[in-house]
Amino acid sequence: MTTIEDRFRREEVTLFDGRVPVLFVPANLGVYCLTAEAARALRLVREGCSSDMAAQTLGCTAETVRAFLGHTMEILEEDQKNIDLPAPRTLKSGGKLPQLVFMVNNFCNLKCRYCYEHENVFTEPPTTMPKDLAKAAIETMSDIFSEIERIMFIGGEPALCEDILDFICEQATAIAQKKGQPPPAFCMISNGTKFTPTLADTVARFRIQITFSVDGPPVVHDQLRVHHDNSPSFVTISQNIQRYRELDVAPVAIECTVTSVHREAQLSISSLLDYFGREFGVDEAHVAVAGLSADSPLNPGQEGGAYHLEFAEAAAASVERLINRMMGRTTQGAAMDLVTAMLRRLKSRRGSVQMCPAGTTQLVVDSAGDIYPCWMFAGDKTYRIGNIASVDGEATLNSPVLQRIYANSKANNEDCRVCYARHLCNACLGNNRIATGAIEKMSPAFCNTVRAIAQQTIVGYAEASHNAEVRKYIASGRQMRDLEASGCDAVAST
Amino acid sequence: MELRSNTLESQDLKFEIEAVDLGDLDALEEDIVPCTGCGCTCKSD
Repeated sequence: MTTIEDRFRREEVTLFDGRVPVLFVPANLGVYCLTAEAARALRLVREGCSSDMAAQTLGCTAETVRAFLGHTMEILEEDQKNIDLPAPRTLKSGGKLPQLVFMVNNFCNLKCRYCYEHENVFTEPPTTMPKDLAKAAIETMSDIFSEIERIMFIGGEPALCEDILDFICEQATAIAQKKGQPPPAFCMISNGTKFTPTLADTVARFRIQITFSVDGPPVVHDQLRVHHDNSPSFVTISQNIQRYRELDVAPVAIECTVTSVHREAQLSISSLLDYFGREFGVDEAHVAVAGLSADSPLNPGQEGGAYHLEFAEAAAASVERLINRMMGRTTQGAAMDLVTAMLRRLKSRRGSVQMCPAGTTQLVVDSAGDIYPCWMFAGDKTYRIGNIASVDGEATLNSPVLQRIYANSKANNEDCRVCYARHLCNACLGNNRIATGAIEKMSPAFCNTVRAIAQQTIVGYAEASHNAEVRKYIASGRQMRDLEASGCDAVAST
Repeated sequence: MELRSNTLESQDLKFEIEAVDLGDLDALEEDIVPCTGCGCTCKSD
């Protein structure tokens, strides 16, 4: 006979300690607050204790423990109905292409110390994507897919080739118009060292959202992101970010790549978030560890992985800021954008089933017309899907590279499928390739960092539900809605 | 916030499990969802 203890042990749940103990259900992102006694009882049973043994430890009756397990199972089983995960997305001929990326060139005016492109992209002769190739790429992709939702520019450094950016925006807009569709959204990842009036005009006309790479204050940024003559880049970038802000096309976005240099400078992740909020006025920042091999001296994990704790601390501060913003308050300092994504998922209970955009919601065309799932694979022929000159829609989308990516879904991947954070995580196949040599093999350091962030986000979310101000805010919103509803009814009945 | 809970009290011990739902808080602005690897921000899901 299956006992209630056995039934509970079979449930996939994770228990977290904290000011408010939490039970988390990875499959449907269920979050439950527990009392200390409840948490202890559940933990003892998970560890193999019978209800009698747990009761003895806790100082209560076995009936109480069994009854509580019964209540818990009722709630969890009722909540199973909330599991509504979509199938992982794949690219289909005739379907939408969420993101088409143009690697418009393969050269850069900086030589960032951690950049993975030194080993592949930058080994080729410098090339800017020719206009006829760009035109062919837009036309081909527009033939294969019903709509291109977003076009992203990356390099090399895309801002060094402003003509081709303008050309692609014009061509893509014209094709969308011909199809009776809105133009794609445009965005660009830039090192921010070049922002000419010509580029500013293109950015303003096509509302190109720019994410600037800034690694923190000059003390670290100018050690990592230098020109070829070793001159620093921070001051120029800071001025260009201001020029971009004045165009008012989209909020400034910052991405920061963390290396051992940050640790040497004693700059914690939290202090970076404070800095980005203060210096650039951003509410969110993208802070990620550099995709480096485990033995790279720039890998911050070299020092024993203590940086997971730094990320956890920054995640806790981010949750607090974001919960305050969700109550309409202004806060100081930026939040980690990954924490924002995780909180949004917990709140909506819509888990992320995608491993990452590479090849599932995104295709990349490099400056030679080669097609890859992500710019992080550019130059590695193992992951080349084809070339724009010889694309055959169905065959291209059935390429072994894409089939390999589809087979490596979170549900199939041996590391992901048993990870409690799988539906909160955004993984990165490019990072896997660099860190472990295979897209299917997760980097333990990467996963530990994501789990540290996820745990803090889950616990912070649960703790917020016990916060008197949060409760008051929600109750007042409900009252308002009830009043509005009753007002509408009264009007309707007259 | 909906808090479905079950509480059992026994010998001064409180066994409680409470489902958390902060769905009524304001929405966080839908923006770009990051991938966490290379440091580049890209749309996911």
